[in-house]
Order: sequence, then C-alpha cells, then structure tokens
Amino acid sequence: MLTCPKCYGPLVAEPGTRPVDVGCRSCARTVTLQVFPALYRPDHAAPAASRVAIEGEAACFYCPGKAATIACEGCGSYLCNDCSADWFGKKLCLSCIHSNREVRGATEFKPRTQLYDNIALGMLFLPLVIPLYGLFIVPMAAPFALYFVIRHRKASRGLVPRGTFRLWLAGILSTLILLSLCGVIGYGINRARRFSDGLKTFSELRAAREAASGDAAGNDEDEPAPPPDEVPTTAPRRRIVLPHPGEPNPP
Amino acid sequence: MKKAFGPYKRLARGFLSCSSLWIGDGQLLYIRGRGILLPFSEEYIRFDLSRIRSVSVARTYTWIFTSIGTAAVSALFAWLSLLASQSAAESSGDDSLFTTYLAGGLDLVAAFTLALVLVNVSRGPSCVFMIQTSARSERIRSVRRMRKARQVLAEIGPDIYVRQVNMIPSPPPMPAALAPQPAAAFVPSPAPVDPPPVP
Repeated sequence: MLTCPKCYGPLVAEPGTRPVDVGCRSCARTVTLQVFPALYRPDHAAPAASRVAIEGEAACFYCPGKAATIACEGCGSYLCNDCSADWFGKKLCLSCIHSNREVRGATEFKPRTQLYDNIALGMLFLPLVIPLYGLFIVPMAAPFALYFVIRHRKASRGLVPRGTFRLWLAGILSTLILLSLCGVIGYGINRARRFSDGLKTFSELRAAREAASGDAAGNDEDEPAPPPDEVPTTAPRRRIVLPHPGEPNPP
Repeated sequence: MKKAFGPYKRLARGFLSCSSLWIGDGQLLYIRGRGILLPFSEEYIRFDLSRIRSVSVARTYTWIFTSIGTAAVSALFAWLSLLASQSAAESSGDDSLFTTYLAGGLDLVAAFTLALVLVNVSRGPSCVFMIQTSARSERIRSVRRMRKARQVLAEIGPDIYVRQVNMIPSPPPMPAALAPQPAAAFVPSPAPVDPPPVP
C-alpha cells in the first residue's frame, strides 16, 4: 500500500513514467508521487518450495533431505531454495551474508560503522555547549578522547572515504589539553608549597634558601655555636619515694 | 564529503553531513548518521532499484516557521543592540565603552541570525522525502527541500523505471462473453430473384 510521507495515510496512484500530484485524504496535503511497476509485485514472493532430494542427487548443505538448486556464490556450498538469499543480484547462503556483514565488514554488505574520530572530537567540543561547567568537563574528557584516538587509529572511518584530519585534530587537541592540565596542576602544587613556606614568590624562596645555606657555611668556618640556653619547657618531675617495709610512712 | 566514491555518486547531503543519499551499482545507498551535531555512527540502508515501489514527496511548512522564529530572534537582538547604543550615547567613561562593545556584539548576533533567515528562505520550501519498498518505508532526511527533491526524483526516476519495465503486467485476458466479436464478413445479399412467371 502506498502511504503519505507525512501522515502515513493511504494514497492511490498508478505507475507511470512521471511523478504525479496526489491529494492525501488524511492530512489534505498534495503529495508528489511517482509509482513504479514493482508495486504489482506481490509482498511476499516466496521462492519455489524445495523438493526432496532423490538418490544420487546433490542435496542442500544445510537441509540434507532437500534437493540443491544453486551453489552459493560466496562459499560454493549447494543450497536449496529455502537456504539461499538474493543480495543485489548475488545468490548467497545466509552464513555468507552474516559473515560479510558482521565479521568481514565488506563494503557492499557493511550495515553500520562507528566513527571514532567524531566521537573523540565530540568529547572535546560538546561539553563546551554546557554553560559554565563545560570548561571543567573538557579536561576530564581529554584522556578518554586520546584513548579513543590511539585505540581506534586504524579503525574504519565509514563507507565514504574520509581523511585522517579529524583524528589528528582530536589527538593534538587532547594532548594539548592534557599537557596544559599537567602544567596547571604543577603550578598549583608549587604555589601551595610556597604558601606553606610563608613565601609568595620564587625570588623570595631562592633568597631564603641561599640565606640558609650561607648561614650553615658560616657556622662551619667559625667556632661552634654556643649551646642554646636550657629553658625548661615542662615542670620538673616530682620524685616519689616509697618507704621500706617496717618503716612508718613519710608525712 | 566526497561527491563520488567507487560506483556511487552523491545525490544529496544533509545538515553537517549527518546523512546522505548515493546512487550506484543498481542501488540507492542511504547513509543515516546518528549523533549530536557530529555523526558518531553511520547506518547504511540499501535500496535495490528494481524493488522500489514509490518515491513520494510532501511539502511541509517547517521552513516558514523556522524563518519566522529566526527573524524574531534577529529582531530581538537588533532591538537590544539599539537600546545598548542609546545607553552608550547617554553614559560616559568605562560604561560607555562597555555598552558600545555590547551593542557591537548584539549587532553581530542579529546579522548572523538574519543571514540564517535569508539562507533558509533562499533554499525554498521544505519537504519530506520517502522511499517505499515492499519491506520498508524510509524517510530520507538528507533531502529536505522541494527543489532538491525534484532534482533527485528526476535523476533516479528513469533509472528505477528502466529496471522495472519487465514488471509491468500485461493486461489480463477478457472473458469470452465480453470480448468483442469479430466483425462478420460482408457477404452481399443475393440479388432478388424474380419469381418465375406464372403460366
């Protein structure tokens, strides 16, 4: 049944060499429609039923009891009518179609492709769509993008041939983001150290280190530094004396 | 995206190359991309030219609504830019500089959205393009404009028809009762014979 492309309502038209305008009764749109003679072909054109193989006759590879009518153009095995399929003019067995589609990924059979270069690029750019938080998500996604680039660098990039520009772009961008992330982390650690030392700049830190080393060298050359005055930090311990047996307890 | 590869020739291409339609090797190849802004995966749908039952195109009004919406956004930004420039004229110092830059930015956004409107209008009416076989009906998302749809239909229609010429059914034989009878052979009627004279 012919259907309207907008509302899927039924349409009525006859095959012709030119497109015709037909009114859809469901959505009241004018549909430009070209119908082809395949409309007359029955929906489920079942192949001729396979017959039982007789003695001495070639049998189907998958159905041993049935007579073979053709040989698979992929693997050459004999097939009955039930086990063969027509794939754009080629008669193939179902296992050949499956292996071509899913295992080998032959061009004329390939059903789908994952575009890993686009996935890696999307990881780097799509978080920027999120306001405010996007800039924080990109550095977290960069390692995964780099992993995708390295892991799938030789993977197929689709049926339509494409260059490696996107893959390279994703790899370079993710590497740069990771390097800058490392730089930021290193700078933060140094900054934290300097704050813990009570200093604010590298020059102050350097001057303090030089002063410390200079003091140490001067102390070695002169006579040893006098011991610091003993300053009791805690109260002196009180000695407890226990009486000998037979003696009275001290007051 | 390439215009041709192997036996295939590109007929149409969708927005951001997410989907495309190709013809070649006795088949139509529809590449449907799935993803956000960028296609993360591609699905390949093949139509045997000898099995396509119909190609239909229905005009839609999406382009009018999108044009009106984008024009409204453009007008909004232009109005905000006008307000900002008026504010810049009244203020002084840093505020004036900031509002001048703000007005410029809003002008850019308004010009961009106006350009989108012009492009959308220049591409013509939008449509839905569908290919139907006995097994499936597939909307082709790479053909979204009537002009492009007519081009594609003019290109693939003859190819499909040529491959299906042998499927045109011959008219069924008519019942014998309704069949026109062959015209009877003209036999001139014999000349009237005069009756013999009565003696």
